[in-house]
Amino acid sequence: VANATEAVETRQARAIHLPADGSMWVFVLGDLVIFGAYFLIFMICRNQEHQLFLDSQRHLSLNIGTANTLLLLASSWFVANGVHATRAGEYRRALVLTLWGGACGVGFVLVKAYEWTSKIGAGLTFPHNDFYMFYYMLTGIHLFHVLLGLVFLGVVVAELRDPDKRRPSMVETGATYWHMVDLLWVMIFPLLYLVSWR
Amino acid sequence: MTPGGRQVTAAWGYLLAATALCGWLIETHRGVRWTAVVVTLIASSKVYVIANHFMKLNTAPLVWRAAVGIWLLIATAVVLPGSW
Repeated sequence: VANATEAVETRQARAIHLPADGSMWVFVLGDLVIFGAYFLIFMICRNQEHQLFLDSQRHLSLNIGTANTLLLLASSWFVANGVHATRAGEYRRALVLTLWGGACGVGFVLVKAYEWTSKIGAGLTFPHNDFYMFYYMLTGIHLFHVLLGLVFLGVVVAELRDPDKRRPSMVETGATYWHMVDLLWVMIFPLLYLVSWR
Repeated sequence: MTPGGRQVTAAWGYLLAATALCGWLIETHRGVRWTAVVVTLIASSKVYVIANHFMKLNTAPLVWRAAVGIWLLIATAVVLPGSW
């Protein structure tokens, strides 16, 4: 049975098909374009106020940013394996993996809340300077996407729990959105926390 | 674990290693110009891996792969000159 499942999955993996719903991919592309525009505006402002951005960036914690990255990467691993478990008909395993993915997403939200609270407590608020305006805007819009992603994962969990409502396409669609959230963070993290030079 | 699951885990291993490498580069070579460039290129490679192995874009029709690929090239082109 295991070999048969592997063979089926290998054939599925090789076949050309769009995972998830096409409209979700249109949404993903639209979101990527919007975030691309944010990155462009950020880089223009950064080049105009280079020293200010460099000094402000030093107040961000690399450890917190890395923790957030690891949480989202772990979350994506769980969700991606949840999709494979669904395709293999292992719905119970898919449910557990999706729940773990959501738990890591909640962890991301908590770490981000802690980071924002400490920054606001230190007086580094939205109007403090242009860098922090971008910091709160980019991480805030991304955080909204994470929260929306958690709602998506909740819908996936609800469907996986009910044998009459299980749809692999819905699991793939939720996973595609969740991975987009991860993908965007992978670009935001170096932009805000890492890339610095004199 | 299924072949798809093994592929996902291998991609995840790369993403963790790339994240660790970026963290090490910033800790040891912060403020150096080439570090910013390398970190940006590593971030782009991570996006490529997530798109292809987590989102399964590598099995999608050409038009979707091209659309995301072009976005990644433009996003990298936007960030990279600023890094340099």
